[in-house]
Amino acid sequence: MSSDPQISRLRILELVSKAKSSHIGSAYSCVDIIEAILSCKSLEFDFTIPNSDVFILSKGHAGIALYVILEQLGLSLNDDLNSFYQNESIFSGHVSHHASQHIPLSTGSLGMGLSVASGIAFSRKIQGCSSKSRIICLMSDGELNEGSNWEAFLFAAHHKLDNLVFIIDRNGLQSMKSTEQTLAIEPLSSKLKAFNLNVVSVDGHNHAEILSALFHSYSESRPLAIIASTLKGKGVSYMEDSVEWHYRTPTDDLYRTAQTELLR
Amino acid sequence: MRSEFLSTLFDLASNDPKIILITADLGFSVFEEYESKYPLQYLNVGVSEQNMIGVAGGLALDGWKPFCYSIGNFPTLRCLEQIRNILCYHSLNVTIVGMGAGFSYGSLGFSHHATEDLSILSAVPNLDLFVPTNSTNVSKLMREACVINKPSYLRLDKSYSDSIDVSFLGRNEYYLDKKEGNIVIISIGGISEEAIHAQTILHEHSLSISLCILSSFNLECEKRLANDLSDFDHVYTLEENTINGGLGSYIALLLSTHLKKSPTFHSFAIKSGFTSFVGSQQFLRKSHHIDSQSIVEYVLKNHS
Repeated sequence: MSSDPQISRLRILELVSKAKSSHIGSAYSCVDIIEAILSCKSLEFDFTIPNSDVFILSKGHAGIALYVILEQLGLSLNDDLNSFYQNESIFSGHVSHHASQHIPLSTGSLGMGLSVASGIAFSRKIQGCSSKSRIICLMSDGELNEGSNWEAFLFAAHHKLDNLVFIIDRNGLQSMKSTEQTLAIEPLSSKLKAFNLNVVSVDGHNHAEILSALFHSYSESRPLAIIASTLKGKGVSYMEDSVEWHYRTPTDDLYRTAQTELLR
Repeated sequence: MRSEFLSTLFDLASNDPKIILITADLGFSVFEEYESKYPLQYLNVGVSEQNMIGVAGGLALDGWKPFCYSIGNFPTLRCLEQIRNILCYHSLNVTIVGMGAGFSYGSLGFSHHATEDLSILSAVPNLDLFVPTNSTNVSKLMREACVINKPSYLRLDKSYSDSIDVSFLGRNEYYLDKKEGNIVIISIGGISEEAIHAQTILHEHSLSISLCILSSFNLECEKRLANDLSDFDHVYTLEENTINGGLGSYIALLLSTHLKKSPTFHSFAIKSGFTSFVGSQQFLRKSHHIDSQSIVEYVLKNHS
């Protein structure tokens, strides 16, 4: 099965509105990144298979995007996704490993996924099987405020984890204002290079660019950091580049407008 | 206790190549021989405890059995959320090793006093505590932690007495030295030596007290323990830990849950918060009235 970002966004819209949940803007900014990676035929993310590729969503609040794309791709979910966010549901607002064997880690508190990804990458490296799998961790730019990420960067570079990929969903916003108004992370590329990472910048809504970075930017002994420029709320005009859609649920007219735009 | 920990680790590592010791840059002159013998089963992550727990989680997800080592509050409070969210929520097979229980590093100051860990960690779901009494049960507890396939915390002390052999005392059991009389003191960890010493001194005053030692909380045999404790009219607890939420709270809750009639109860624990002065572990136990002399004075005042 394949997936289509617009259809994924429609399904996200449907589920978020039904659940009256938050984070639609954050989910929309990384739909293309997740789709590009999960639908790539050269990668297989099944944690029940030894040495499989691994995808960790450290920005757990975009969990709905991951659930929907797994559903669209026909990859197994452990229950009906229509129960998202409802009483007794396994589909929590922040991504849960109970939802699928393709999700190895539950997150929700920022800054933790990278260390776990680094641990898995380290495990593969010291067992001599690092060339067989990619360990990919998707995080948000606001998330980089957390110091624990920088511990992970130091560790990954020190141990030359070239099987490890950090993707930063660089939508420029966090939960109150822009990243640069809150706690400036620019110059980000220079910072990551100074941490001895191999840094590549891409358009985070261009699948070809994302995959090209993933497969053609290998640098021996250095972890790969992909800075993916994105728009928070991408796909719906009134949500794009807006902080408030980190929180709000589109209902009524706004729901219909979003639906119309996505169906175009 | 640390040398027992190390010799057990050598044995575990020799039998299982997936055992890995992770340290947050501590263990100078302790781990060199281990690192030399098992270089692929040793990792120093640097002074990065949050990353240590995350990396341990990743290793555990990929089939390893990590022991994460640091001292004082560093492997616990510094990275408590990672312990909760990564290790405990995913039930990962990782043992956190905290060297320096209570006032073990007394003169180093407040930052190195691990005096709330029993309370805080016992509140984290899906985390089992393993608190050796002396060097005789370090190995047993460590081996238990290794096979339970879920997160655990091993609390190593610097001051303890090997005068009693509790090598049989695992996590889910208790040691009971029942004497005549209606008083029992329940303790956990290295500070049990103060209870043993108090028992001896009180005997010289013709006052007999029984001794009970635990290695953990949330025992499966709680009903049996409560039943044994119902033989006493007076129950004391002793811990090198805050009075809030530790052994005292656990026993008080256990007694009131299981017994129709509760004995009188008193908790020897750290009541007065931080101190601005420092000192040896013995000195600080005394300052906080949790040493053998404080126990003796209290018991004599209330029971003779």
